[in-house]
Amino acid sequence: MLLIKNLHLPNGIKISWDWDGQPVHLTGKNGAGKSLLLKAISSLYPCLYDEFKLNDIPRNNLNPSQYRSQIVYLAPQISFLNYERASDFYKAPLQLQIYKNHSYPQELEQKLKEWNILDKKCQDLSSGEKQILSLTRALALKAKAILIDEALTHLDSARKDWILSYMLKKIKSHEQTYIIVSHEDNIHPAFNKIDISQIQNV
Amino acid sequence: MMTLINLLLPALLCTGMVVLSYFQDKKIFKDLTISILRMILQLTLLSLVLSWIFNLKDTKIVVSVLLIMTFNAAYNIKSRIDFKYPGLFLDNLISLSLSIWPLCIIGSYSMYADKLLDAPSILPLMGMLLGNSLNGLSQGLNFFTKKIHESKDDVLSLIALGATTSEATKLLLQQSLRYGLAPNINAMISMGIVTIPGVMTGQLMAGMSPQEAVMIQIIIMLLVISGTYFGLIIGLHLSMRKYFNQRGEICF
Repeated sequence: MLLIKNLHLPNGIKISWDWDGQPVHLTGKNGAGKSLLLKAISSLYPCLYDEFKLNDIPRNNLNPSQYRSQIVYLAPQISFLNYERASDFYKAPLQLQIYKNHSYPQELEQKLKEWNILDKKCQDLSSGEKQILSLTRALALKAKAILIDEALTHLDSARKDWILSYMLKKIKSHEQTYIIVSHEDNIHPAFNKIDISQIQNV
Repeated sequence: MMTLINLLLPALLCTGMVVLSYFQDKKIFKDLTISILRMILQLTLLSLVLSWIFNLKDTKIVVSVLLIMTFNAAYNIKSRIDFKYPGLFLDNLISLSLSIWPLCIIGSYSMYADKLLDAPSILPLMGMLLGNSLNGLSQGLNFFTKKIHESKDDVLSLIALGATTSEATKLLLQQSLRYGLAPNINAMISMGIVTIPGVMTGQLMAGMSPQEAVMIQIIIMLLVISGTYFGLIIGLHLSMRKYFNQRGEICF
């Protein structure tokens, strides 16, 4: 799915990785460059590399917005400052040109309503609610891969289980795949645990 | 005809104010003294330079002065921006040249069609347009360059979802434009009700009819607000190029 050769991260580390699209649990010590790698993969910062291909197509040949809508990066904490209600935040991407004809899956919206999150004001949301809302919003998009950067940390076990089961369903149907950065020992057996040092150029 | 005698009474009043400020706050005293002396010196020099230019009646000299004024305005905008980036001066120069110069020529033509590049008509007009745009541009650009650093996470989270740079910064650009235009909008709202604008006051004092003075003031205000608006639009879009590359990647 993704072929990276000699990707220079801003912290001086070089990465080479042939990712087949199988779900990944990315680990590594603090400062090892996990977040930098995810941001570089989703083309958020300019990076030097020898080769960078998505499904055999060089990244530079792809429209940047389309590329980022295919490989969505989800930050650990997302700002809610510009939104009044949780529903405004949830539906904000639908205003973007790239999602002009996109509609969200009913299942996710129903779950958010069941959890009484969507009708809340953003200032009243807890850290866990903010995180589940950001996650759900990312999952509702048409991305082929979602890069989740420590965005499961504030979730209670029930909501985390539900999110994981939703992800597993998407993985099984080959609709979406995930790279999750987390310091937990194990997320789920379906995720290949990779330490960033394993893909680091020596 | 104005003589130094005419200045005597206001100067005495001002001296009293400065003396009073000395006993209240030494810093205010210092600021007042320096700014008053600077103002007198600058305006006296200006009168000498303008008299010299007006007497020369040379278009090349007029254009050179207009260029110096534009360079100076671009430099002043740069100095008022807290978050400077490489190429800021050039960006200011481009936005002022593309917005103010055409407007100044249009304005000069509207008011003095027969003497388009005459120093007494075009220099004060350029001064007014640059002065107002300088305030609007520096406020709008300062807001933008400061806020884009503060809202980096907001911008990043939208870009990460596939937003274009214009979509990700739309709100910020709108806010910056509003912020930059606010002084001119406020001035226009109060004009004629709360205040009699400077140009009109000058014209009235010089003996022009109120109708004619109002007409000139309206033309100037239309040019000022358009100049600030276009200058801001160009300036904001030029500075956007410094914060994102062509692939929409964040470079700050």
